[in-house]
Amino acid sequence: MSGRAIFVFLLATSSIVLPQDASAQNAAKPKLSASAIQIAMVEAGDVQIPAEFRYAVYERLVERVRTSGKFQKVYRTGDHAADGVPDLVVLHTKVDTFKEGSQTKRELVTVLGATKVDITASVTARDGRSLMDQQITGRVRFFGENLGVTNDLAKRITKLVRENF
Amino acid sequence: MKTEEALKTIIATLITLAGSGLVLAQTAPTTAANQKKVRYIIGLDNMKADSSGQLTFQDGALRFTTGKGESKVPVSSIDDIFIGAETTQSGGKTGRVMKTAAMAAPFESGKALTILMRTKVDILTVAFHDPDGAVHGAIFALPKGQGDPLRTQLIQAGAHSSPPANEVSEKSKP
Repeated sequence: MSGRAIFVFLLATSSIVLPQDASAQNAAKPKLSASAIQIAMVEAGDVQIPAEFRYAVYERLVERVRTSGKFQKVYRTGDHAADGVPDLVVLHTKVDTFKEGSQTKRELVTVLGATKVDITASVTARDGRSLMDQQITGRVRFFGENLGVTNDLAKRITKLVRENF
Repeated sequence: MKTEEALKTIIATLITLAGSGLVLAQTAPTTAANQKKVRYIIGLDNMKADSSGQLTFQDGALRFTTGKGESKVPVSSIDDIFIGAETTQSGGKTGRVMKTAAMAAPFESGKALTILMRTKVDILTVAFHDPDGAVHGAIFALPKGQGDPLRTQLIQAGAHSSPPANEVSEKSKP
């Protein structure tokens, strides 16, 4: 068998194997279901993060999860109306690291001054069972003010929730 | 005698007029200072994010008014007030358009606008709860130095707030 024939054979085999692998992954990960979700306030732990960042992430999450249309009801933290919902899931977010950059540096030098926030996003059921747990990083690299990182984070977390539900 | 009386009346009138003028002059800036032109970032229901409007404190409530509507937060429902700082771009939407246009300038000379158009703002975060107990956080960008007086005004009116040492966020990095 010539080298070219081997190459063509390997290419054909990989194209058959890859889609099967992807479909196996999808099959192994069944979608979760819940009629309502409660967004918990962003926990800072020991990380020094300005309050406006925590509240902005929280507010943008509420807004984006609502517009995603994945849940019939989206409750805020502390909402008494969520108390009686049987299949309620709770979205928790905890800040792992926070680095505040500078808009001026970003726009002048491009490679400097990025704002970065690492967050662990998790979804728990009413009985405390963990349904989803993942680390997500939000960044503002080029243009926009530092608070723009909250929009990037909320977008990524909502995407993760959409993929799991 | 009559001339003296007339003179007294004229002086009294002048003093009264001058006094009322002073009172009016003092009242006018107070009213103007109570109205703050701010940029609303997020956190109020039925308000478009990133809209400009007036932030006032009236009748026991913090009110944000734009040309399209009004949203209010009763002081009794405020759980915390935080003041932060940020260095951002001045000029609002016009400034943004100008900077985008300047990007096309040769030798990256448009970047000079970044230095010229930066401004410091106070970021006011008002954490409050609605009648169902749900937590909200309204965030506004105020001209530098206007956050603290408003916070003091709200606390005096009965709003809850953490001790000042915890609430000032890290200083902005220009």
